[in-house]
Amino acid sequence: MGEALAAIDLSASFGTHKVLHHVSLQMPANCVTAIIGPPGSGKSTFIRCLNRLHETVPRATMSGTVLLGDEDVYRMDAITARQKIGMVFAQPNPFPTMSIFENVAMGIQLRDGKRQTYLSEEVERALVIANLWSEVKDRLKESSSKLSAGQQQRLCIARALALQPAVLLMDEPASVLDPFSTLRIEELIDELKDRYTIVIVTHNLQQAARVADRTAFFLAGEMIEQGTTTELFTTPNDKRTEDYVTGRFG
Amino acid sequence: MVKRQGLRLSRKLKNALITTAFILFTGLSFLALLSIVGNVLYHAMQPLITHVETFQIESNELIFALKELVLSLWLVLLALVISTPLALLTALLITEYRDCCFTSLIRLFVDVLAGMPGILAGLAVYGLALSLFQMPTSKIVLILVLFLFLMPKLSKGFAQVFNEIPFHYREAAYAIGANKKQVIFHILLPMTVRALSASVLLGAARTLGASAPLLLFGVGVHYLAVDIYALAVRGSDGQAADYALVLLLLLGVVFSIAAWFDRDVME
Ligand SMILES: Nc1ncnc2c1ncn2[C@@H]1O[C@H](COP(=O)(O)OP(=O)(O)OP(=O)(O)O)[C@@H](O)[C@H]1O
Ligand SMILES: [Mg+2]
Repeated sequence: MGEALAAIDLSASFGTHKVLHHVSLQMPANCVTAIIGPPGSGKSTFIRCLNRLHETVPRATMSGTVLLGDEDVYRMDAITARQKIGMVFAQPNPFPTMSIFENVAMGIQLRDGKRQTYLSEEVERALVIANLWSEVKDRLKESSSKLSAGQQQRLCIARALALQPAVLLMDEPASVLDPFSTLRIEELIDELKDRYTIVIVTHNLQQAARVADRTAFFLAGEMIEQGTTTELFTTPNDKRTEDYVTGRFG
Repeated sequence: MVKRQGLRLSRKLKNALITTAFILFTGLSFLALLSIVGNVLYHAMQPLITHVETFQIESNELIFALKELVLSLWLVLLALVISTPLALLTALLITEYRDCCFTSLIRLFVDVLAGMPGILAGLAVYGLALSLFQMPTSKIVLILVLFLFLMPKLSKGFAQVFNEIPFHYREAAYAIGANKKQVIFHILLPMTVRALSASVLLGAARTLGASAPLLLFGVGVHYLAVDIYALAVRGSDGQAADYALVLLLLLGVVFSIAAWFDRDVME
């Protein structure tokens, strides 16, 4: 089951360059929350703060609170936080020297050690949830680089899901995929929200409208407006949101 | 219309020029390589062809050259055994621990040392060995020289290999809960093991072919590349060519293995 995620007064910088200013956002459990906004508005930085990936960048700093359920993400161990809050990136990036199986198993092996009896069950479970099992079940030992881009992206989703996270963060997960693969990812997101809380960054407003229950609009490192997707797209409160969703800029 | 045609023409011309230059340079370097191999082969084979009766001596010489080769290989192998782990650590420090304060200093140091001429490595250790142990040609001293020559080059090669791995693979690993050590051991090293092996082999080949580091120590060191130099200077061209042939063959083998290691695995 998914857990609610909440960002409270989040600010983030790269060195002296402040890119996120006091952002607060509720991401309810088992909902899809979309984050939209022009390039450079801090969308990626925001979600990278949620799973503590931001701090792996040299000289990057942040302040504020992130709550997973009622636990403070920044009070737990960073590794634990990342296991509970999975992430998928824009560029499908399965580990190219590993097989399909090894890719999905990696997270569990890093956490629990190399040989676990439940490994193949868990790998199968994750691949089934990611809608990839039927396509790869006979070629689990093959290199992951033999898959198509769309399959590779679903493999990355399976890799994240193998750890049974509560939240799945997706940073423009379909931006380099063809329309058909994009559709499959969107269908998958729709299925996944029963089990996980999902936060998706997207440039594609139609995509946000299609998959998201709630949407937040970012501009220049600030969260301008948030609400249900229908509200935000049809009756935005802020002029800047209106301009953006009607395609007048960005 | 005329202008566009002019543009297209100039682009065509540019393409043609680039292609010609490419073919020319590749051809030239290939010719150079061929002439070296040909020259060595010719010199090595000439006595064989002109007077068959001296073949006995020639084959003796070849055995001698092979002996020297084994000794040289042994030295290089020992130098590799010491420098590979150290170079690996250095390269990991340079590439994976960038935010550590000494890192940029170490990177600079490695860069400078890697570009250092081999003769300087020899000179440094030679002076030290002479004043400290009075035995400049002991094996340990020679290995030390080769180590000094090889280690920075290896570190730099390894660092390049690590830098070629896009950052997003490291991020993908962090995102599934890997710590830094796990990123290195479970992701980075398995991804680079072939390229690293190829760099080790290329480093070995470069060391084997370099006479400069051990030149100061004289012929007594039994190092093939030094022997070739000494023989050639003495005017024994044929013998030098024999030795060179042996060295060339070995380097050919090493380079082929390196190329095989470094082949594209994502076929
Ligand atoms: N590693 C980094 N080092 C320094 N500055 C960075 C780094 N990553 C991002 N930035 C800066 O932070 C700001 C926000 O970037 P971010 O990637 O969060 O934007 P984004 O909304 O995700 O943009 P896009 O839609 O292009 O992905 C930008 O000004 C960017 O230049
Ligand atoms: Mg981004």
